[in-house]
Amino acid sequence: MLRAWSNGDQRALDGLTPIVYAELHRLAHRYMKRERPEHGLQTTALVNEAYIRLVDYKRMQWQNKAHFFAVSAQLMRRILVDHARRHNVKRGRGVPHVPLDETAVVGDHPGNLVALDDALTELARIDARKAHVVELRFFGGLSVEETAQVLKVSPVTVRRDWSSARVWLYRELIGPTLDGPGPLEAAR
Amino acid sequence: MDPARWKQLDSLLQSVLERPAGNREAFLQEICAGDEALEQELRSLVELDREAGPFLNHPAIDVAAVDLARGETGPTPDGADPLVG
Repeated sequence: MLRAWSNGDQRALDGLTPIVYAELHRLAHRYMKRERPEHGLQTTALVNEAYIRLVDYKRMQWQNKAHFFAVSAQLMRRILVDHARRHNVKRGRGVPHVPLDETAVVGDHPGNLVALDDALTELARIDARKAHVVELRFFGGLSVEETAQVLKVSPVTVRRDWSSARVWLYRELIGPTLDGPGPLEAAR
Repeated sequence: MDPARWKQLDSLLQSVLERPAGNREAFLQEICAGDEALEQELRSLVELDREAGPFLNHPAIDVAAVDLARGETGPTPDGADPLVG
């Protein structure tokens, strides 16, 4: 599934980026105004719908809907992680430091999204399907059932993969090294 | 981590997590059959599953949006997470 970027993918990236950015800023604005947030899964679904309307299916050569969601999740990952990386640089130093264990729990620090991307790449190396499950659900906003359809596995498998991957990634993010001292020891 | 080692841990972790919380410790000891290193690592993974709490519960776009908002406003005065509430 993770194939090299083709011309179609570049066009897809160019098409999706402004939609994601607009939605990202709209959401951020809501948070700044302390409005009660809508559910993020709706947001991602909204992005996907806008994207479906935008893209030319024939030119994009989507094999099917599952393929569309798989590519869409990959693009979302790329756009959001790139955004977080740039945002980090722009803010530079002087940004209040949030303790690592707290950010790992909340998962809301840009360094964290970048670190998560790195950890996910590492997970793909040892367990590709679990990394796909996280990409589709966390970045692509797909439900357990939709993820199961894309990966052609049962929903039970998706749930299991998701819970194990979550533990693996959490450990990777809070621990100094995977094979070094355990994160619990390190945190104390 | 070695993929074979992870495969073993993953499978054992799932079998432990399927048990009710009260039965996990005894089951964990049983399946590790005296392999203390394995038992320790597996116990740590089970603990991390609990500790991870809402980790990854919100989609990435929400995580990015909250950060963008914080970049403009700084941390909320009460330290509350805008995602929670």
